[in-house]
Amino acid sequence: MDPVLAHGAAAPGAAWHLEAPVLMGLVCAAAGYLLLVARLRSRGGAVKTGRAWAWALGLVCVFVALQTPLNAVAEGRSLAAHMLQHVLLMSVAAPLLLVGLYPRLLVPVTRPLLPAMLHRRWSNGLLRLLSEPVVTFGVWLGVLYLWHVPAVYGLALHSEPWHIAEHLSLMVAGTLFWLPVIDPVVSFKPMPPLQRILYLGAGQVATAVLAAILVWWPDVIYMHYERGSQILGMTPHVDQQVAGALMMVIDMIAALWATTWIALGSLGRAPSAQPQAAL
Amino acid sequence: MDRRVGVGAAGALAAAFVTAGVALATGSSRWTMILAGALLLGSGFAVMAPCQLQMSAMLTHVVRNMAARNAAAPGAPSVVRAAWLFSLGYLVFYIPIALLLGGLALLLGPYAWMLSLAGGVMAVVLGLAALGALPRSWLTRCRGPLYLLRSGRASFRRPFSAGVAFGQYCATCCGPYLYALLVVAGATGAFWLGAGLVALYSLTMVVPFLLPALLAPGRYAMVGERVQTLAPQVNRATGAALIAMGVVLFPVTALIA
Repeated sequence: MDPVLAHGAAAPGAAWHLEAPVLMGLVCAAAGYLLLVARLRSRGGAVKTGRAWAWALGLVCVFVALQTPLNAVAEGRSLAAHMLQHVLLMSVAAPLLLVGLYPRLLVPVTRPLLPAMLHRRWSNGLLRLLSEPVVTFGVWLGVLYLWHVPAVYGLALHSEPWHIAEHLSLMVAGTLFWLPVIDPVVSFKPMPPLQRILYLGAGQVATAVLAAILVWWPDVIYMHYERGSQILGMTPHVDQQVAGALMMVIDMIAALWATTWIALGSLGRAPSAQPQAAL
Repeated sequence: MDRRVGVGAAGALAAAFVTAGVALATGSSRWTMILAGALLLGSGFAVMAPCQLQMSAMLTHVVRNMAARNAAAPGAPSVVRAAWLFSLGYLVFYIPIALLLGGLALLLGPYAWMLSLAGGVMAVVLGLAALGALPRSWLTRCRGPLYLLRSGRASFRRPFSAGVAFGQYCATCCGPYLYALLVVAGATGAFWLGAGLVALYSLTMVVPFLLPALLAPGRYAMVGERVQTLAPQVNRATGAALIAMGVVLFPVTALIA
């Protein structure tokens, strides 16, 4: 089914896009987190409020990306809106959800699962593979570029199952990319702070090529949007340029915030080496 | 160097070389502009990360002192309000900068690339000076943000002015980068795009700095106790980033000239 027709996206007034499976997933994620928090609190553990807010904000981002009028605009009228949707899933929701998790909170999940997974050869191998930054980076990069090949992009726009697969894979790839940076559970090979920052920098370089193509390509790349009605008076070409700029800027904000978080976090743990100068 | 970092760096370089290869092999002007744009956008993180760390480090320092002052005198300006005003001052400074650089690039027309080249040279010189490879006297008038605060040129009793002062400090380093961005955008006949990118650039600087300050001032205050230990590394990173930026600006200039 053509989602553009199915959701009436070409019409100027975009509609809310409430879908039971996504809403159920979000409610389950929120309820599961609350259960973990309640258990931790009942055992006398310290609940990290900031982390809980990050988890909640991550779920809100998923909701905004998939369930609001942004979804209809993204499918039928605007590449910039679609890019915003992708970036919200990959670069905002994914790291926020990971920041929401920490080892003590996850004990009820990791204690029964991890020993069994480490015991089996295939799951042990899978865990080791997923803790390799080269692998997480490669999967993220591959998924990101694959879905922006015009033919594949068109496929996702014109087929609901492919569209769901696109959003799911982008979310998973985004989570994998951020996993070695945020490291919510103890990794096989935790990266030192400097390597994490270099990893984020490599991500920026990799994203820059796609963003530059969108910003500086002289023609409209995704013909689908030439048929749609314009938003905010932007021509399809300007819309494409805005999509590239949005992608670069939001990714960079996320990377810079993570860099600050890593640097100040490692500084917070390091012993004080110099006396404090008065200001 | 760790194998994973090596592979990552090699991958990033390979991506850059493949793009460069396509641009040169096709001889296409569209690929040339994309290559120049990708080089600039890709190096943006390297340019901004050390500045971002300096801003955050400075704010932790200031927040620690403000928190101490607020504890002693409840009527003192709040940390959150000061952080907002600081960000506003920083943003207000960048709007005329974007207009000025855009106007300059428009005025120079086909020769706009010459200033981009000069900017590259300036960035390399500044970077070498920051790394200590040049006489120390070369940077006597270019002090760090903590100097701005200690000397009274920017005080968090006047956070808006402090934001403007920090914007001036940033612009001396990042000006060439912003100008090159405008020239590349201008070469495709889209100056609005260049001005928009500069505005987004300033937002990119402010948001990651502002959010942690607003969300976790307590954590910031704690880190502020140790922030000075980070200063030498950040200085070195800034020097390296400036040299890298200058080096990137040379091929970008060659591509757009």
